[in-house]
Amino acid sequence: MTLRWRLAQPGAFEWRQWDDEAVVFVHATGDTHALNVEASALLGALRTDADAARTAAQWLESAGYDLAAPDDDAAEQLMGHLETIGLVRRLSP
Amino acid sequence: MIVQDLAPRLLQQALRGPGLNLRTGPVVTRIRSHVPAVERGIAMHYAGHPVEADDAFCDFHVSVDRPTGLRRWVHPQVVFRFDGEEPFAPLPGPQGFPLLEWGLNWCIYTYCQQYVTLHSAVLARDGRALILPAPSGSGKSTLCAGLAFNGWRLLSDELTVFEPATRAIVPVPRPISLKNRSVDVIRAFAPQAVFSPAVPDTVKGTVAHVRPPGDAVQQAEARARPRWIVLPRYSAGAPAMLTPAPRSRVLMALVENTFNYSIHGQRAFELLAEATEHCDCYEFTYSDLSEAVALFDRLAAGGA
Repeated sequence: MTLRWRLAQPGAFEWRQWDDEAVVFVHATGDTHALNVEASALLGALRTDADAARTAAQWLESAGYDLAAPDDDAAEQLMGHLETIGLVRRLSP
Repeated sequence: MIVQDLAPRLLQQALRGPGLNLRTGPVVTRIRSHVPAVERGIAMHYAGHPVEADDAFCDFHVSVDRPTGLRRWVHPQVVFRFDGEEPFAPLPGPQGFPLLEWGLNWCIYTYCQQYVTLHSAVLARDGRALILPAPSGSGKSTLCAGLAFNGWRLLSDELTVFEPATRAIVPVPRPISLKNRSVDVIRAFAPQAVFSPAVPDTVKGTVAHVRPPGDAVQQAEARARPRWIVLPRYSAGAPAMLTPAPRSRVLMALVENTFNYSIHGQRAFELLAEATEHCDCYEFTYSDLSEAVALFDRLAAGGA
């Protein structure tokens, strides 16, 4: 079963990006996180299409990363991290 | 009136009686103490600070005194009280003045919630603030003292106090706390600096305080705008070097050093992000204080 992902909810966080890295403030938790290049690009893609639900690999591709299909474990791990800190949520297929 | 206008006898009477209403930047603290080292410390380090009227509103009511009971006489201790409560464990008797200083810091970062307060030194040139957020042991206070006695105006060696509404940094000029080898470094580097006797065996090692430069106290109402954020790190043998720092890393450093971040939440995030956006941001390594001060002079002049 391939999971699909979407942004947690509109306005769930504040976001500042410089160069390739971002820092987010998550309203629900009050926590602040630094995001690395990959996570920043991924979240940037999710923000520009907030209502869409795609697989992790599809999101990464839309963020400009060319995945070696079909192995998208890395993408799933990244999504799992963003889910843990409250930025994205998973949907049933 | 300032503290040095009070005759020693009157200062002692105030401290042992109703309290001394001492203004430090935006804060007025009523201080009481029967401990001679505290009296001497206040006379020395706060000589130029304003004294408010006896009936003035005071933000904090604190005291540093001997505890009651056996510890008053056997291995004497000192205890800090805030509104009659004792937020810290008693300390050995010779640590009275350091305890007062640590207690005053605690009052500000615990209770002044109208501000966003960082654990960070801050100085200014021509109204432009240099923010130095860093953990203990990074060389922050040494660098701060070196700059404060060489053309930079001290706003605080320990607390960067942001006023959210104006985005300005509010000075709280108070004694600079130096530890261990830094004491001798600053004694040699700034012979004009006025030191309290070194107090050994504190939780931070040997501690000595330096009286804030007079101009810092006289300009305590002159706020400053964030201009540079520098993450300092002492590294033995390293040349003084400023390296541009990623803003995401700088913002996280500010967040991690903000005492009341969780209270302000989004407001603090936006304030710190704005400061990060508008400042030049650097990492800084150094080992020689003269080199460091020269480099910061060039930075202020637009070079470096």
